[in-house]
Amino acid sequence: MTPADLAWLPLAPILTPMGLGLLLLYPWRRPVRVGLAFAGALLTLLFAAGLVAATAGGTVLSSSLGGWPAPFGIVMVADRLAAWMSLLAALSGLLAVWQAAADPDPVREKHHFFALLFFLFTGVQMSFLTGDLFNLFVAFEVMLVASYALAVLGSTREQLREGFRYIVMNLVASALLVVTCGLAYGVLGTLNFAHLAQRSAELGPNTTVTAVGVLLLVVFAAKGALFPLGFWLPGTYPALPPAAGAFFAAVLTKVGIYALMRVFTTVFPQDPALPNTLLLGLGAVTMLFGAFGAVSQREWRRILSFTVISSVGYLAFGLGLGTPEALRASVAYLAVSVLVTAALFAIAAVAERAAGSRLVRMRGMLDFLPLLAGCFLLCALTVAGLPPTGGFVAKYALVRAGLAQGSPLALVAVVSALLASLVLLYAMLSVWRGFFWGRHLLTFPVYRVPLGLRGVAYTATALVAGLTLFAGPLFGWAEATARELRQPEGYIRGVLGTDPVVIPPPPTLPEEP
Amino acid sequence: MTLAVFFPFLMAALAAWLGPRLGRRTGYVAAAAFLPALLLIPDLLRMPGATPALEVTRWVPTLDLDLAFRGDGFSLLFAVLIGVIGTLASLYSVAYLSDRERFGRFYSYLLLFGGSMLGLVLTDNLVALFGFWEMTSVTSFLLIGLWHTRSAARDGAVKAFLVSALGGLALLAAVALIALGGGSTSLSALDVAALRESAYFAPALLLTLLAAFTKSAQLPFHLWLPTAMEAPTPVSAFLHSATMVKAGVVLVAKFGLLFGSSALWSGIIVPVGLATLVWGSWLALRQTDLKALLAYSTVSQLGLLMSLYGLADAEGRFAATVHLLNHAAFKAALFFVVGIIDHETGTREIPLLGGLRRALPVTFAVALLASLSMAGLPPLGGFISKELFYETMLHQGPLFLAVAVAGSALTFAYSFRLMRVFWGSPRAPAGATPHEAPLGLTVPAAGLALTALAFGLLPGTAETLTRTASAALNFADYGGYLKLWHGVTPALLATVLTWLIGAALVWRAATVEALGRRLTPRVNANTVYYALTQTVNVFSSWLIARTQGLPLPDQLRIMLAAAALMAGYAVWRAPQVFPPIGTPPLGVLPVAALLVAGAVGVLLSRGRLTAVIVTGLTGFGSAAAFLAFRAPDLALTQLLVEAVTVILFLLAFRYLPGVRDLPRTRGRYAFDVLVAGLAGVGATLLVLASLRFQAPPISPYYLEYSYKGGGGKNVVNVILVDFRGFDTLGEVLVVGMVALAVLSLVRLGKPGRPRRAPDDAAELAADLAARRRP
Repeated sequence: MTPADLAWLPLAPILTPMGLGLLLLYPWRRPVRVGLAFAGALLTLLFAAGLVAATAGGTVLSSSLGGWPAPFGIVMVADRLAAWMSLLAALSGLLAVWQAAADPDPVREKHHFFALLFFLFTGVQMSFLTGDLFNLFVAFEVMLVASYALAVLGSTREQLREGFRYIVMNLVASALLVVTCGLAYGVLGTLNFAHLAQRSAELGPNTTVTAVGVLLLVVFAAKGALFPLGFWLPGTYPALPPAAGAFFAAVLTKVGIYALMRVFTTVFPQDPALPNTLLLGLGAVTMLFGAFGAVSQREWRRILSFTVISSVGYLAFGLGLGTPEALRASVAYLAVSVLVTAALFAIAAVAERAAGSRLVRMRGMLDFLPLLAGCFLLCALTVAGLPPTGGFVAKYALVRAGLAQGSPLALVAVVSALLASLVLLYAMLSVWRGFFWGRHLLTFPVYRVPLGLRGVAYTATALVAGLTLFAGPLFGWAEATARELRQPEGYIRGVLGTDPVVIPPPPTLPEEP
Repeated sequence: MTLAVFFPFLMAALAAWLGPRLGRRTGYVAAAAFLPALLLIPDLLRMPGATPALEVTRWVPTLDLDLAFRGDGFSLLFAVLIGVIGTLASLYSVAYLSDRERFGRFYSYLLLFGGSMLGLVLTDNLVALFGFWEMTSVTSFLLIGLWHTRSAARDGAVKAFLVSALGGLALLAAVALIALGGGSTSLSALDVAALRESAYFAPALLLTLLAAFTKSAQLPFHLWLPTAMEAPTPVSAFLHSATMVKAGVVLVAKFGLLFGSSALWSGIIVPVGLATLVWGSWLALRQTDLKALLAYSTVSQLGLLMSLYGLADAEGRFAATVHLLNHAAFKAALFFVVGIIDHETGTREIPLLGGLRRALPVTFAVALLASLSMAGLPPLGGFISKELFYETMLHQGPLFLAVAVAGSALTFAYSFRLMRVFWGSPRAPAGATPHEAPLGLTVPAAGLALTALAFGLLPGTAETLTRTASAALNFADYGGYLKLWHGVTPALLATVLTWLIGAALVWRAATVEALGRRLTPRVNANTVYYALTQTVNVFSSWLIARTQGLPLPDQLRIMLAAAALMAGYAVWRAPQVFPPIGTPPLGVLPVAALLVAGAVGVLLSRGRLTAVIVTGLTGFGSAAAFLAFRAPDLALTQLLVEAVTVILFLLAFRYLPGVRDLPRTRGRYAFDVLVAGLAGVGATLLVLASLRFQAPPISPYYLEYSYKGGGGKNVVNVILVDFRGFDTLGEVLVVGMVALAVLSLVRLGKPGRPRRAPDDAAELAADLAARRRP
């Protein structure tokens, strides 16, 4: 099939969850609701997989909404990176739906938990697939409001407090984004990614364009929870219901990272020195902050939230190095990070359920939950970047890229990456030691966890293990993606075609009376 | 070789499944897992003449990370050693473990370790080497913590893991540097000359050494090995004396071919190794726990091996390889002996034991042979390798020999101290009636002790085995040979001196002990370790309290200041262009004044209400601006939004708990002014810069096609509902969701009171009580 035949495909993963979300607003009985949710998540996954298959050969799919040609109307675009992210998000979405289905929560479900979850999927898919800067802002809004609604659903004191923090900080970032959209239009006269890329390439290195780029960097760094901009994260995730929390943790920060990748490879790659320096610096600090944060916490999902921050730091580090090798490593690490976070949050849900407490120090659960312990060990080693996991391969690739780049800041970042690994390992060992080892106090009962909930944890861990086994193909894909990202011409051609964009001459305004 | 590495992994899964079904007999399955490693013996005996075989399994080709195994003489020798000790440890553990042990867990951990260790010595790929290296750390962690209900086991396991992970990360960086400098990740295909020339050489060397020292428990990283003795004794014999702790030594031996040319290499390793030899044996002499004594003895012997391989010459490598074999034989045998004593008497404390030779005659014989070898007495293997050690150190200088003699004399002394439990009047803790251990325990120990004897009486056996590694370790042209009697050489004189000092130490044991008590340093590696971990804990709590624990306004200040700094710098770098504005129409001035007044007013306002009203000023100001620029529809929209916003704010305030005036101290106030001012200046500059389009805007298209294609005369409307209708769809969704959220917030009752969702652990527990397991 030609790209033109598949032009509808980039829209499918967005419209499917949106439609399902609307459908789920009707008060169905629970089996119907759950069935619909599963069907929707599976369908989204199917479409996302279709996107990956369609873009695997380097094709760029583009669908123009309303039939308006590229730089003038809005387009949804799928290249390798966008399709890959869409697939990862769809996969985490399916896991989240499964987890929610296995853990009935009548009150939240009555208040449209599933519909909001699907609107969240819509926003996430839209951010990955959009080819327009302002539409990205809209996608962020959809995502933000859906996630805020999910975060406060339940109205506990903790949820309201952390939800407030969440929405205020994210609104600040959104406000900055909308201002930046205006500035970008002011400087380059367009909002379409491909057209922006084309024009910034024609301009060459330009400090005003770089300034706009840095503003975008600040926004996306806040969305991605890089250090001094990400205070909203560690409090919000633990306050969420487990299923939503797992999806938030696995995917939402990665949206910021994806946007950074898109902007600084496809759109504004001309003057990389300043953005790269900033990303390297922020990344180096963020890794350590996340790692120390994980050490400081005593509850399952609080610890894990900080490991999410740390992983974002690693990604920023990889992006900031700015070499092809590093970009490849970051793309691969993205996949590892998404899946391992989903798995760890699923494990935490089972652990909290079984021990009847959010606290880690429950002691001696190894004898009650041996399989879960195995899953946790594998994921913990992945987070700390130790073999035999995919985390080790990705971290090796990052460290090697950092050493190869060799600038003083890169070396500092490498040291910080290794140090953060060690601290993360310490945090993970404390969890292992506090929860799985030791003599279980018989005064605490051990609860039975439904098989469905355990199944999520096992499946997600199996996916993480699969990344180890198929690290070869994963890196092959990452290599191709990185190559594509470094040659934005393909993306531009896929969206704008080969003919130059023709803008009609400004009509002459009638004279004022 | 690939099979030898992967078979234990497969069998580990099988053992985990069989454990609960077969009980202790799973040990036989575990022993069988080492069969492919033992089948490498024919390959080994073809060395050093044959060309090493290379087996490659592709894994991650883009990173040159393959599971490549190369059977050179040294790797095969070590692999066979692992196979032998692994088999013996598995068999020994069948009789050793108690009935309540979780056999599946124990044997699968043990086999995972065996596979990793075999991979570590056989791999030719540097990255895979790091992988297997860390996997031995992980499995060692699990094995040390096997009896995890003891806090000492948990502590020891974590400590061992952290110390070796520190080295592991150093190895990761070293491997990356070597691969970058040498142009390959394959150890046998490295361009050594290019590596030596590159800037990566020295850092890679130092990092490799850090890795080797942590893994092989060299000073000051020796702290983890004694506490690792919490593991069951077969594990200690296998991992913590014969194989895993020698990984660092293997690394130094193999990488000596890359780094040996540098004076830095031996300049660091030899002193560290010798210091470890002396200090380790001194500490061993002072232990009362038999296993602790053996642990420190292992530390000290590793120092000896390290110093010999660190010399990076043919003589040193030859001597070290001989001693490697001897040490594996006598030390594993001694661990097995200690296991038997523990098994039979229930204690390992030297003062509580005595006269065991009557009750445990076979064990006594084994212990005698092994400890004589350790002490370096003829006619055992230890004597021969000690002579070689002296010979080698003599060539380095008299000072080196003196240190070697000191270390060996202490070794002599603690070997005798170990044997004290067999002499004297029979003593054992109350209730224990020691009698000879079952064959399952004595046979593996006796086999090893007899090997130690054979290495001495028939030096040719040790010589043949050692020579298999000659091609791999580049000592083929070394002319020395093994013999019990070389004539009266300086080395023999040094040996005699060693015995004399050693005997004196044994004779004046009480004086030595008193001296030891006075020489105990107040700060040791352990106190440093605990201080460090404590510091990390305290620091991280402090850090998170100072950042994550701050109130929202302060966090916003940090966030905004960071954003202003980064973006401000970028704007400042951009060319400051001030396009001619001309004379602004007079009507704009009041509007501008209104906007500025609103912005400044918010900054100055002290109450919530004032702030909202003053914000409204800005909104109405923008509406006026729209009006001034002939956009009445926009102005109308803006006015509506402003009005609704203010009303909503006021409504919301009605329900918010009362707060005092915004708490702003003088410092914060100045800070706010600064950040706001910076942001204002930056935004102004950027807007001025962007006033001049660098490229023509696409907007004429909309004017052109608004009616032609969109069928509307109001361009703004057509943009909203057609050109960019998808944006509007998204925003409609947003508004809908806000409505849903508000609805559920209101309907879920009084905000702030927990309803369905449990707020903390206790509530969660109560909540789950319904689903409680019967």
